[in-house]
Amino acid sequence: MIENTVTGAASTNARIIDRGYQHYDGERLGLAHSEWVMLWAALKRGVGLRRSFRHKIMPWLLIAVAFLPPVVILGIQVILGRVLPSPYTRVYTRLVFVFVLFAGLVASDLLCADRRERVISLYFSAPITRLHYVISQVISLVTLLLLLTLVPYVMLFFGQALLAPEFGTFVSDNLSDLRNVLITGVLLAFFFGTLAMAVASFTDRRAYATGGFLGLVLVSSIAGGILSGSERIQFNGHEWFSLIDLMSLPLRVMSWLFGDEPRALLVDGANYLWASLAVIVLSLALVAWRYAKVSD
Amino acid sequence: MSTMLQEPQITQDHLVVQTKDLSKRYGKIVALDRATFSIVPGCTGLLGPNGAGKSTLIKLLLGLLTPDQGEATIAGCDVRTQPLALRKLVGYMPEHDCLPSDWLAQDFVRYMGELHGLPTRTAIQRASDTLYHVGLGEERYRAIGGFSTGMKQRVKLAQALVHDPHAMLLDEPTNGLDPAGRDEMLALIGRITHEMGINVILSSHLLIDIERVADSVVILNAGRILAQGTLRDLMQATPAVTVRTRTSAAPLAEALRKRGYAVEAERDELQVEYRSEEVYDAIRDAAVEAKAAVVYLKRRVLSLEDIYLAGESTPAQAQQDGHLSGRPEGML
Repeated sequence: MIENTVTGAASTNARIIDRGYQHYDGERLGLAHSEWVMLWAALKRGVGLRRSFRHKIMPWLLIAVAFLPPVVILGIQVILGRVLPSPYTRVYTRLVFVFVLFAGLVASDLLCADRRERVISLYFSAPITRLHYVISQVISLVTLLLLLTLVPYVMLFFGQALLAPEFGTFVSDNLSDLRNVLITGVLLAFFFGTLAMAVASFTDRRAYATGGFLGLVLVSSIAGGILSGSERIQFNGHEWFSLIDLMSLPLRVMSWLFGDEPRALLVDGANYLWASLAVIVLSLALVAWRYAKVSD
Repeated sequence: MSTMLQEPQITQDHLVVQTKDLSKRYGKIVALDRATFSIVPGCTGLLGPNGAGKSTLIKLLLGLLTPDQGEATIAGCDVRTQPLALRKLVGYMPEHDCLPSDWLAQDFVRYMGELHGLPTRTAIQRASDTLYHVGLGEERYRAIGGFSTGMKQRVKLAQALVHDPHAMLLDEPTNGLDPAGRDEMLALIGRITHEMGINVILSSHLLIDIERVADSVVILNAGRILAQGTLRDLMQATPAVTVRTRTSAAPLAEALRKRGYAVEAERDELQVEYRSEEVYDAIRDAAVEAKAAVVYLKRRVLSLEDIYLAGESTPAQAQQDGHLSGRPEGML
C-alpha cells in the first residue's frame, strides 16, 4: 500500500501543490471595482507606466516643465528672502501650451489605441457599460492634467506661505489666491481634457487625434484673435469672437477671477466662464455619443 | 426549417443557454430569425457558414446587442435585463484581433480578470495560472505585440477563462492557425470542457473542428436554426440502414419493397428505410428470398455536413426573404 512507503513526520507534512488552473468560488466585486480598475489602468497608461521608455518621455517631460516655474519661483524667493507678488496668471498664461500638448497626446493614447486594436470589444464584453468606460478614461485624463494645472500651483502657494514670516497670516490674507488657483486648475484640466477626448473619439489614429486637437485649438485661437481684436477689422460685437478662442477661453476666466489683467477681458468675465462650461458639457456629450455609436 | 431531433434529458435550471423566437435585424437584413434553441452543459458547436448569424447570436447572448424580438437567457441571466450580471459569468473570445500590442500578456489577462470582478490579488494569481494553463507560462511577461498568431489566440482564450466563467463563448477560435496550432487550440478547448467542467459554446464554420470537440451542435444558416441536438443523436438518428451485397442489389431491393420498406438502390448498395430494429429481420428474410449475399449491413451515420445539407433552405429563398447571404460553400 502507498501509505506504507511514507512514514513518520514527513508523511504528515507532505502536500501536493497544484499550480494549474483552479475554479474560483470567492468574492466577485461590483461595478465600482471595475470602474476603479479601468481608471487606475488609464492613469498608469497615460504616463507610460508598465510601458516602453518611448511612452514615458513626453508625459514626464511635460509634467517636469509644468513643475519648473513654481520650483524656480520658490527658489528665487528663498534666495531673495522675501515673498514675490502673486505670479499665477503670468505662469498659467505661459504654460498653457504645455497643458494643451499634454491633453492632446494623452487623450489620443487613452482612446485611439483601444479602438484601433479593437480591444474595446473585450472591454464591452466585461460587466461594464460603454458609459463606464468613457467616464473612466475622461476622469483619468482630467486627473493627470490636474497634476500639471493644479498641483504645482498649490505647491507654490504653500511654499510661499512657508517662506512668509507668518504661515497662518499669509494663508488667511491670500485665501482668494488659493481659491482662484483651485478653480483655474480644475477648469483648465476639465476644459482641455474633455475637448481633447472629444476630438480623439472621432478617429482611431493617434497622430490624427493629437494633430486635430492641436489644430483646433490653434486655429480657433488665431481666428478668435483676428476677429475679436484686430484694429483693422472692427464691427459691432467683434469682441464676442473672443469666445471662440479655445486656447485663451479658460485663461480669460482666470484673468477674471484674479482680476489682475483686465485688458484680457473683451466681454464680461462671466461670459468666458459660461462659454468654458458649455465647451466642457458639449465635449462630454460628443464623447458619450461617439461611444454609443462606435462599433465593437 | 428547424429540426428538433431529441430533447435533452435536462431540467431548465441546468440549461446554459435558452432562447425563444430570438430575432435581430440590421435594417432590411435579417441576421437572426426567430431562433429557438437550448444549449446543455458541455461543449456546444455553433455551426454555420460565414454570414449565418453566429456572431450576431453571440453578441445577443453577451447582451451587447438588443434583440428586436424574442428572449434569451445565458447562465440563468436574461440578456435584456441582466447584461452586466451575465457578463460576470461568461467569458468571450472574439473572432478578430482584439489585443493591445503594448501590454504584457500577464498584465492584460490580470486586467480582464479584475474587470470581471476578481479582487486584484486573486486576479494576479489567476492570470499567471491561466497563462500557464494555455501554454504561455514562460512568455507571460512579454508584450503581446511580439506574439505569433497562435500565441495571441491563447492570450484571447486566457482572458476569457481567467475569471472562471460559467460559460465561454468562443468565436472562431482556430481562425488563422496552422494545422498544428489548430490541433493544440482544439485540445485546449476539449480540456476546458471535459477536465475543467466549463461550458463552451464554440462558433465555427469548420465542421471538422465542431466534430472534434463538441458534444452538441446548433446549426445555423441565413439566420435560421437548421438543426440542434447532441452530436451523437444528430449523427446517428438517421432513418436508414446501409446494405452492401456481393452482386447486384436489385433483387434484394425488390424483396424489401414488397415488405413495405422504402429502398434506394445503387449497384451493390442499398439504403433501407429505418423504422425500428425489425428492419434487420426484414433484411435477413429478404436476402434469403432474393438469394442475395450480404457483405455487410450497418446503420448509416451522418456527418455534420449531411445534416447541414439536409436542413439547408435554398439560398435563393433565403435571399428573397431578406436574409444574409448564406454561403454554404464557405463552410468547410
